[in-house]
Amino acid sequence: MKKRWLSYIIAFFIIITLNFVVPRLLPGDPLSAIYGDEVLINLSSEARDYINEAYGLGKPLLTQYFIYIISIFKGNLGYSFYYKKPVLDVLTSYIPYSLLLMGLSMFFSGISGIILGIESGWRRGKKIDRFILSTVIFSSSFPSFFVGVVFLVIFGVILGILPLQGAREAYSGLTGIKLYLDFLKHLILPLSSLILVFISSCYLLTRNSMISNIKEPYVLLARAKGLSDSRIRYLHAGRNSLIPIATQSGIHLGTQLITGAIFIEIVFSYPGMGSLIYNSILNRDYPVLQGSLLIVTLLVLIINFLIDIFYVKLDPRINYAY
Amino acid sequence: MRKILFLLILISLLLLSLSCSSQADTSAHEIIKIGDTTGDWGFPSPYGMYSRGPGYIRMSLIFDTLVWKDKEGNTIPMLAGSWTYDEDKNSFTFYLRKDVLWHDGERFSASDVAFTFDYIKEYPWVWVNSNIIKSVEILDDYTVCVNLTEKYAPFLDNIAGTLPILPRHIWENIEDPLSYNKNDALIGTGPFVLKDYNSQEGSYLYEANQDYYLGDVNINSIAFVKASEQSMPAMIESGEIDAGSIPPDVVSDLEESGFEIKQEPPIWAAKLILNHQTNELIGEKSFRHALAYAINYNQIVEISRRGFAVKGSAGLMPPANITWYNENTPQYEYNAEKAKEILEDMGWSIGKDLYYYKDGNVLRLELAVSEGDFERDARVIKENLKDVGIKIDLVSYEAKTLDSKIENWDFDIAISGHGGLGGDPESLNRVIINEGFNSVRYFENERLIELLNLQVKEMDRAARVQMLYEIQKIYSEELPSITLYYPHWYWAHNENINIFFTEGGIATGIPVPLNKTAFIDI
Repeated sequence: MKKRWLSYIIAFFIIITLNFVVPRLLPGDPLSAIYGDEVLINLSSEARDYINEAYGLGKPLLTQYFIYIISIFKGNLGYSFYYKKPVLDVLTSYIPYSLLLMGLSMFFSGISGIILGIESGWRRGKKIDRFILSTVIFSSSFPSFFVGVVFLVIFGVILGILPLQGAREAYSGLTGIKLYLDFLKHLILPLSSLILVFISSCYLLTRNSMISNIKEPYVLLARAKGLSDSRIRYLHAGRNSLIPIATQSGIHLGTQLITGAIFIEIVFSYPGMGSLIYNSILNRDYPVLQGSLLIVTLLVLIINFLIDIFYVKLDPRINYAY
Repeated sequence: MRKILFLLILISLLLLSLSCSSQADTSAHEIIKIGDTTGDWGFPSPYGMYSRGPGYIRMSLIFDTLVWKDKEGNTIPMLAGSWTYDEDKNSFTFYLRKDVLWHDGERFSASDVAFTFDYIKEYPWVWVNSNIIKSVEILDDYTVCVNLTEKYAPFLDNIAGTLPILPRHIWENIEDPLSYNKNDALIGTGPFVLKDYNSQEGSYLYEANQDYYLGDVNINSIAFVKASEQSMPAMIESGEIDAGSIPPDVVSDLEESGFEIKQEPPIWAAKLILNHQTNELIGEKSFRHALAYAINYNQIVEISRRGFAVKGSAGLMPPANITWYNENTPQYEYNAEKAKEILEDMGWSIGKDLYYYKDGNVLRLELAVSEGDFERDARVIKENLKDVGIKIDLVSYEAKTLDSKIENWDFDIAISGHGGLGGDPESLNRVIINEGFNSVRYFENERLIELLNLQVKEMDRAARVQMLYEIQKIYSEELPSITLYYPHWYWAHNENINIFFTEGGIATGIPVPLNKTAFIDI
């Protein structure tokens, strides 16, 4: 157990060091990235020194690194050059939107992927299986932003029934339940584009493991017991097909949650973590990049931990493996 | 897993409800909305805004300067009712208005002006070069005299008309202006006060300052909201927003639908940047001339820009800057034969594959371009250069990576661009002899350097114009970079709002059609 903890601590240090180093390997420096483009401003050497000093950019790299490490343990993620506020404030303002969009899309694509996968695998080779299989593969073979743009044109521009962009209508004066509905209305298009893209991996995995599961003796036994078809399908074969899905969702949720929706966020101007990271790379905003990467790392670790617990519930055999 | 997801969703809905409760509650129909593709331009205080034109515009609604520009670009009084310039003492005296109140009700006076000039000396504000300011004297409560260290022709535009005056009673205690974002950092004297700012959604809401000293503010509330480039035209058409920038392709459609179109003076320059510093071949002037003759500018404008651009002037200054543009600047018209002639005079000879060779080496250059918009231009240029026998390798980089390569002279030729050419020609110094990737950093011609330094100090307009004419001529001859084109940009708006482009741009030359005087009945 001690060894395990030690390896966790070492891994954590390697990760936070990489978080520090990698953004700084990008060509260009924050001062040029933020101020360099604008011909209208007058970045005198005094102004340059003042900004470097204010953001601690002039300090040697090693000093910057130690300040960064110490700050992390104090719960301080640093100060954003571009947004001119603490990184924690920047992150907390973007994370809820990401959780909402990605959480919902993972949830819906997961549920529908599993159901379709179970039904499809159960009826392998039949017409309905072939139909679902080809439809899902067809719809997910388009890149997410393309699906987004098509949805935008059809529902936003031609039919005009759904909002074109944003997380809500700014300064609409809406309150209470109407405001919530406005949020949901703005979610529909980006959410459905993401569901369409995510559904295939979940569907294919479920279908595949379903196909191998229905050949197992326990399915035969269940049949022999005279259980109903749907009971065998969902509670016996289906349940056992979920194990690979759980693993996959764990990896997905951590990484996709933050970065997976970047194109969709840009197409729909949705204020999520993807667009924040993209902007921070463009502006070489090291503290925000470090902070976002740290959050992603922690999220992956936490989710993996939760999945370990969840596994045991899903498949009690795992408990005996230790 | 589902339980976790439910929990996540619940939490985020909760957080969202928290975040939205902070948005100001105003009924929709009174607000004039302006769309913006970027959305967030920073906390709109002088030190909090992002240092770009749109950031300045958002700040300028709250803070006033000593003087300002009208539609025609004339300097008009703002906080200063009048002013004089004493050539012998090299000082400007401003006679301030006596009827101005800060948004918190305090009276505005000369001490605020003097304080602001001192403050930017201590905490440099990147829009203004504070080294020019020697001292500021308060002559009486409403008169200040600004003494300059040297003659500075753009003083009225680039300092008096750009520097927002700060309330002394608030800022004298602030020692970290870059991070100070409390509400009192937004107390100005301007026509609007900020009601709401949401960084992640990129939205701003302003309300009219009813006690504004210049006249009645004719818009009750004005908001900036984020709108993607693709959805902007549809949002204007549906009335969701009242004004916004639009792609050139939709101009005629929107015009037919009855919307007003405003065309920005084409003053943003797309350039072929040449590495005259570390690439020996490009360091030769005649080779640069050959390149200039080899490029078919009209083809770039017509094919790559689909006609929505003006051909570049070899002297860099765009024809749209009518005050300073020299129409007699020698230009390079597309002439492939002439390009070949120059190359042959330089000792290059054509090979079997129709490329030029010298000492067994093919004439080959790498054309660096940032991903996206310039790639079409790059393809046309590649074909043009191939036609005269120059082999081009096209390489794409992420935008900031390319900037850094240009800054470090780690390229052969590259396409990049910058704005800033619509206002005072001091900007030419920044893009010719200053440091930074936006500048060609060309120091080969002493007369050019001398003229650039002199023109900024020339207080006589006519003499300065002559200097600028000569600068453009020399630039065209030396050709440290090749100006390809100046693109057209458009805005569309409905009848709820009146907007216009300011001749020479707002403040130091910002080409955004949101001059606050349009919202005031003066």
